[in-house]
Amino acid sequence: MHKLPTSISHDEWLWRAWQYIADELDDAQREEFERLLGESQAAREAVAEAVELRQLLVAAGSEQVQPVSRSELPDHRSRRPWAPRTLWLVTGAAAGLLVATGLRPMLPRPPAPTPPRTLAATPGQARLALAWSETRARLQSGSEAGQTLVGFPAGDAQTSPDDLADLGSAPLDPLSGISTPDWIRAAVRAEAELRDMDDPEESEDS
Amino acid sequence: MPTADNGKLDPAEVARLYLEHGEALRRFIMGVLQDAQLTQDVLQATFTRMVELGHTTREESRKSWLFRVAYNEALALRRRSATGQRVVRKLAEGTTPATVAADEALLRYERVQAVKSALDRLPPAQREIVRLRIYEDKTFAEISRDLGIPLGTALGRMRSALQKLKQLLDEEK
Repeated sequence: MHKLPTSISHDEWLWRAWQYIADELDDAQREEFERLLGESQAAREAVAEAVELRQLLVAAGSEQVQPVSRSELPDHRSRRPWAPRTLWLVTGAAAGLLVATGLRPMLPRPPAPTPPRTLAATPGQARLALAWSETRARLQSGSEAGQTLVGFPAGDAQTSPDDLADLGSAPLDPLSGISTPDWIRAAVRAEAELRDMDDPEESEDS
Repeated sequence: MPTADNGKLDPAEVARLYLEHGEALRRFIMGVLQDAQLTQDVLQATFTRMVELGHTTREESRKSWLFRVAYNEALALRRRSATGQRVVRKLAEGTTPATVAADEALLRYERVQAVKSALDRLPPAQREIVRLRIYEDKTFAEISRDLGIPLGTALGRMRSALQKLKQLLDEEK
């Protein structure tokens, strides 16, 4: 069992009392100290002093005692403290931001961003465009073969030669009067580009 | 020796003893019991004993008598109560009676200011130990590990810091 010295100074009593109230004695030390409390007025008064000191320290508040820099401590470890490094990082980032902000007006303006294409072609649109193109081709070939399309003029019996003369240089394409929507034209172009990408040799050959 | 008509100690003398030693007794009991309510109970019981038996004590030994009685009362209460050997080891920090007088509050304020001043005058190594132990509630084992110093060094610095604080506070009195 831990034995306290027979001749105990006031400082020693205060230290033991501090450890007692801070619960830093093991069971044997605590038992011994409590035995002494029954015998020694100095021990009892030291407990009262330790409690007062602790209460005053707590009352002083934690904001009173700022962390001490490791460099101020005699036995600080060799590892570098994180706080200065963080400070440098933050300072560097702030300086970089300031420089970038300050130089911005002097730098040449970057080119204006290209506006997005308004005629974007989706795969569905491309398929529709192909169908449109094939239909158009079939109609064209049918017209050339003498077939008529309802609603479109053709060289039938009801058409007089004057009527044909009036047509003059009128286009023979029965679909020429129907304007092709922009999105279909864009889709066709996109489809053509896709084909070129899928078969570059064929594209080069063509 | 001032006595009442019934041969007991004069109540005025008991009141004087309370004014003179009451706070120190309260702190002492708090250190033993670590419980503000139990401390108050023991303090009352101690002065009740003084009223009953004070006339049997010598005037010069009454302070010691009060502390001894308080200790015995505290141990008896601890044995009776369910608090056990280790009652809640949390100090009811800063426990001051609600009826604290204005001058006592001022005195306490001045003591706190004195502690702040004393803390500033501690060597940095000792101040850091106090900060970690008191305000961050770290154990000495944790402190020694965090600072990379032996446990004995951490304890020694705390002990030196307490001595220094006590010395500085005594100088302020």
